[in-house]
Amino acid sequence: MQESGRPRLAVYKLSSCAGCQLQILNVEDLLLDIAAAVEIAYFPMASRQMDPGPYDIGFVEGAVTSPEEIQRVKQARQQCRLLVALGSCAAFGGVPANKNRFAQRVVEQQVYQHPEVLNSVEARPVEHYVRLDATLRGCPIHPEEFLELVKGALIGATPRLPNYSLCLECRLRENACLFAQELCLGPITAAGCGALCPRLGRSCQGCRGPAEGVNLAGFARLLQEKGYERAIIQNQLGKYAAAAPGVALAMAALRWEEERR
Amino acid sequence: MSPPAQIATAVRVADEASWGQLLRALAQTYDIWAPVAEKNRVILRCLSPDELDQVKLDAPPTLLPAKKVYRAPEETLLRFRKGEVEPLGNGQHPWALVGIHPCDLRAIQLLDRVYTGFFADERYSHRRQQNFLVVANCLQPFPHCFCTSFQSGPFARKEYDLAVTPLFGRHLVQAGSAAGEAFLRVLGLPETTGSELAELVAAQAQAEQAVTRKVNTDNLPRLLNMNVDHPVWDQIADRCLSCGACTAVCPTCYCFSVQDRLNLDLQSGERRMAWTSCLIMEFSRVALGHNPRHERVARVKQRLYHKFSYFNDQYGQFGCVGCGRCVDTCVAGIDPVEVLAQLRR
Repeated sequence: MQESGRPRLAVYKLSSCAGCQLQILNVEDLLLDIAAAVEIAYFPMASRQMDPGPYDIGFVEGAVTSPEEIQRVKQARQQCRLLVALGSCAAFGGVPANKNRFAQRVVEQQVYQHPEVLNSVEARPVEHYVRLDATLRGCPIHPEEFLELVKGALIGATPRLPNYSLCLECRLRENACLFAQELCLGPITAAGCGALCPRLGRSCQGCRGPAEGVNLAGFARLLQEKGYERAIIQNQLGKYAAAAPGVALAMAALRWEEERR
Repeated sequence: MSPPAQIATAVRVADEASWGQLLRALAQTYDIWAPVAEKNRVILRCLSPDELDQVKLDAPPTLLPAKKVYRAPEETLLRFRKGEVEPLGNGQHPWALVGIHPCDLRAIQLLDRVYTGFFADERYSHRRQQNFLVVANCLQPFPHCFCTSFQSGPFARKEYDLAVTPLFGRHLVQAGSAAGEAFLRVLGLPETTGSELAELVAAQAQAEQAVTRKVNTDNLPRLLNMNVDHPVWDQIADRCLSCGACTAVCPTCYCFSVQDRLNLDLQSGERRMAWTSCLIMEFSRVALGHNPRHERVARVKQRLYHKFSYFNDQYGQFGCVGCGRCVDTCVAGIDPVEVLAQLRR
C-alpha cells in the first residue's frame, strides 16, 4: 500500500468487449465511496493517469489470445498482490474461446481480409497462464460482486460469492420454470445474477459458467434425452464457458456414449 | 397405523356471497396470504383487500410453500455499526394464510418441531403466533401428490383454525380451533342441520382413493439404514444435477445459512439469513476446505435420508408430507416415491 494507506487497484484489459470494466463504473452512486476506500492507480478506461505498479488488487478483463497478452497477464501477476478474473472471458475464455473449436487459420480467414497481419493464439482463460486469487463471473460481471470482493480485500476476508446453481436462486425468486420449453442452463450455471434472464422470461444462457459441484455430464445427457442435438448442446454449454472445468469432459462423455450406441 | 381422520362435526355452509364476506371479515384483522395464479404460475402472496376474489382454493401447489412467510428466502436479522447492534423487529402483522393445502399445513407443524423446539427461534415463533390458518381440503390430487402415505392429506385433520371444502358450488366451512369457532360465530354463519357432514365424509373417502401414488412407510428408516450402498443411490446421483431446486420448493426443508455483509465504510453492515441446500457443495464444507459430502451421491442421499430416516429419529415423524413439489420441480425427473420403491425390489 502507498502512504495513503488505501490499497492500490489496477484494471487490465485483454481480449474483451470492455463491458465488465464498464460495470465497475456503473455503480455510480457508490463510485465516490469506492474511490475513497481504494486508490485507483491503473484503470485506463476510467482515468488517463496511469501509475506504475506494484498494486494490491488487480482485475484482469478478457481472454488471453495473443503472445503479447500472455506477457501482459504474467506481468499483471507479478505486479499484483491479489489477481482477480473480471468476468467470464478472463474466467472461462468467454465468447472468444468459441474460436478454439476451429483451426486458428480457418477462423482468421473467415473474419479478416488480411489474416497475415494477425498474431493470435487459442483463446485461454487467465488461469491457463497464471494463478488467480478470485473470480468474478458473468457476462458482464455483477457490480455487487465487485463490491463484495473489494470489501473482502479491504478487511482481508474471503468474499462469499455464490457458487451454487442458478436454479436454486431462480426458484427462490418464484420465476416460472422455462426448462420444459427452452434450453435453459439454469441447473448448472452459477447463481449470483438474481436470475435476471428467467425473471424476464428468457432462459439462462450460462454466462456465469458452471457452478461448483454440478453434474455437467448428467446435464448434457439430459439435454440429449430431451431431443437436443449434440452440436446444439456443445454450442450452448460452450457459449460463455468453453474453457470452464468439466465442459469439455461432459461433451467428450456425450460423444463417447453416442459412438458406443 | 394412523388414527382415523378427525373431522370437526360442526359444518357451516357458505355460498359465494358469504364466503366473500368471510374473507373480507378476515382481512379486517389479518393480512391475507393466499395462493394466486399469475404469470403462468401459482404463488403464495399477500393480497390487498380488493384482491380477495383472486384467492384460489383449488390451485396446484404454490411454487414456494408456506415456509416462505415464516422465513423469507433471504432476510436481514440485524444491523450493526461499530460494535453497536440494532436488532430488527419480527416484522409481521397478524396474518392469515388462506387456502393452503393440508399437506402444507402438516409441513408447518413439522417446521414447528424444528423451530420452536429445543432451539426456539424467536422470529419464527412470533410469526407463527400471529397466524390464522385457513386450510383448503383437496378433492382432486395433482399429478405428483402422495399425501396419503404420510397422513397429511387430502383432507386436513387438525391444527387449523378453519377448514374449507369447496363442494357442489358451496364452501363447507369447519372450525378447528377456538379462534376459528369464535370467528364463525361473530360472522353469524349458522351450523347446518342438513346432510353436508355426510357429504364431506364421502368426499374425503373419494379424495383419499384418488391419491394413487404411495410410499410404503413400514420400517422405512430401517430399510434406508440397511441400504446405504444400494445401487439406486448411484443411479440417481448420476442424474441429479446438484441444482438444489428440490430443497428450495420443499415445504419441510428448513436449512439456512447466516452471513454478515459489510458496507463500504467497513464499520457498519447487516447480518442476513438465506435458505440454503444440502445438495450444493458449500453446504457441508468446513474450515480449511474439507467436505464430507464432496461426492454427489453423498449429497443426494443426505436429502432423502433426512426426510425419511433422520427426521424420524429426531422427531418421531417423517420429514416429508407428500406434496410432490420436488417431483414437479426436478428437471432430471428424480422421484422419491420411485426411489423408495426401488429399495424394496
